Amino acid sequence: MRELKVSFGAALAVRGASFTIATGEAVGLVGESGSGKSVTALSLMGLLPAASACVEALELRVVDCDLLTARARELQEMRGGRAAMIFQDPLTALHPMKRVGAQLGEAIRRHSALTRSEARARSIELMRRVGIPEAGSRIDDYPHEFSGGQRQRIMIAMAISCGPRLLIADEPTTALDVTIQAQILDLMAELRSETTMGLLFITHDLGVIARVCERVVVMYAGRIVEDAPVDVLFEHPRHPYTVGLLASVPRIDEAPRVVRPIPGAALRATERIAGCAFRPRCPHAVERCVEQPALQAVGERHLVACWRSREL
Amino acid sequence: MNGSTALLSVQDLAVHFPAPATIGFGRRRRGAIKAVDGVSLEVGEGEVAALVGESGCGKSTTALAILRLIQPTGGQIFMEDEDIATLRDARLLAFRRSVQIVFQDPYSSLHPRKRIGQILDEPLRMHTEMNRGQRRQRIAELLEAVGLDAEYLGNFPRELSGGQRQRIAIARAISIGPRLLVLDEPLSALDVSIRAQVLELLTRLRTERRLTYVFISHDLAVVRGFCETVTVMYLGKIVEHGTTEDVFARPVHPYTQALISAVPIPDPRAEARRARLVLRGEPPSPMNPPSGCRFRTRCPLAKPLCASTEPALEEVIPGRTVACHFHDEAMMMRQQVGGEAAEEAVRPHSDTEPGVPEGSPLPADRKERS
Repeated sequence: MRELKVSFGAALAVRGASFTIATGEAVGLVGESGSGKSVTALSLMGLLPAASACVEALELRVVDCDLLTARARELQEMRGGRAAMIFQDPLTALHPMKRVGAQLGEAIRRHSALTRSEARARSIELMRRVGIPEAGSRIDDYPHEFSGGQRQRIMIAMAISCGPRLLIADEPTTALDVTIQAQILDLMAELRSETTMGLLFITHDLGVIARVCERVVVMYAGRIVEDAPVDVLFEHPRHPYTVGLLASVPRIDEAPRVVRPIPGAALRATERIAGCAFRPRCPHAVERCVEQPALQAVGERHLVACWRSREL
Repeated sequence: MNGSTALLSVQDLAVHFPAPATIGFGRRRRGAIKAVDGVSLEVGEGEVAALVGESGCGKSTTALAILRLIQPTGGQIFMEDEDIATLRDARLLAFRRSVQIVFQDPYSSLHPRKRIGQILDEPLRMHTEMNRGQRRQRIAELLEAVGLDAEYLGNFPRELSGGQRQRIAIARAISIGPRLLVLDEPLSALDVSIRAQVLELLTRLRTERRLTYVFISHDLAVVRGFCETVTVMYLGKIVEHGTTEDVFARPVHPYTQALISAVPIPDPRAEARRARLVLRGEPPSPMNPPSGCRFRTRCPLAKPLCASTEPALEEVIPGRTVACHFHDEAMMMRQQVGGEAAEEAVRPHSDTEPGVPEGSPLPADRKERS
């Protein structure tokens, strides 16, 4: 993905974002609401409404599918086949009036030559795999008969049903309780260890990133501000926004420390600003920041978009 | 509380809701959802008391009962030795002035078609004798106190960001000089960097205005930094209570241990060397809670006694009450699982643990002690 720009009328959701995900890599995309992370994910799946969204990019490819030129049919093959996505709220992502078995079967049959009964057997196997007890008898239940955690398990089963090479997970555990979140994160890690599936994990929770991801991409106001291996990012964050974000979250494993908030509020999608969008909140802003800094290497696999990244 | 009288005292509170009638040919069973079942707690003047637990544990229902917004099925709530259930007329109004709430979602807790000025004016008109000019003066002070410009007075809530709206909700809550604020997940709907701002505001207001907080949250990392005491609830019951630092450093109840270890740490190294206790299964329905100890269906230490007898909430170490028959074993388990000293003694967490049957639904991440 290179220089992705997405706008909805006057609202600039993504203002030029570039990153890559290697085969089998788990990348976290972190940012606050309105930073453009979900819109990025939707454009990677070709799911933005063509009527209202204007998508531009120098390059936008997901597992051999060029989204800038792909036709509807090609997109359908890619979605749910080579790449799959799970969402924050599984209750709205699942069809409320269809039995889960039918929904799983539909996904499987769309991307394979399996017969109805084979697809059903595979659905049961998948439900068992993601930890639904008594999968054989629950396959004909409706989504509302499952708990939130189980519904997310079913979404995961659906997502992995065709062996995708990339899984995009958009805040998959935000709606769940922490003990259930821990189960789902473990399940995802387990599934990933068995395959070479790449993962793009979108979240605002830095703790979840630390638990799940190998690399982190930090997004602010529609742009990537930092991109680094997970331990580098948490230990030596270089962008002032990343530094501020890490200082503003309390940790459960240490005695209370002073949590320092980032002053001000994030740029709204309809607002325009010359240069770095974090400039008004940044303690290190200088005159030069009115020009847009490019994402530059400051270390091995470590990119930062800040004029002062070398001195700070 | 140190022997002084509590500002708020909840004694054996029970809130049961009638269960939805069973549809079908069977005989109609009359059941109850025991949302809160025998909860007692005390909050001292000036204290910040946390009430934590997962959805359905009864923490928000407890809050509503404290505000006298729902009728308890049993038990009593005292505000400064006055039973709030008996309050009428002027006493009730005085009670309403002294206890206020801030809700989770500032999008739905502010009237969408009223301007900020009107929203803040309403409690002053209801509860004070101030004239228009005095009220205007007070509103300006309130906005300043929560860090907002007076320019927002003519705006509608939708024109404000989530953080700004929550500041308005806080301004409204403190406008009539309450002594106790119930904060029901006040940060959960906000962005990470905004949470810290609102938390800073709450900290400042508390000292400036000598407020007492009941802080309801599922975000344990925030609780550790902000609250003095913590009460952990599970399915309508208290399972553990103590001072925050003590409970977080040395959790006793297996549920508290699991809850703390489920919270991810924003530090990959700490995450990697941490041993975690992952619970199996999901919380049972409060309509049909397990017999005996309600946590036993997910507890790694459960034994037959747990199914037959409900454990009492007892002081197991000074200043700490725990409802677990096997609290000694739980403490030993903690030392093995990690607790405060999660250094080399503890093996790192791994997903491919030998001895765990393939495909089984996420067993407790802990081998039996040998």
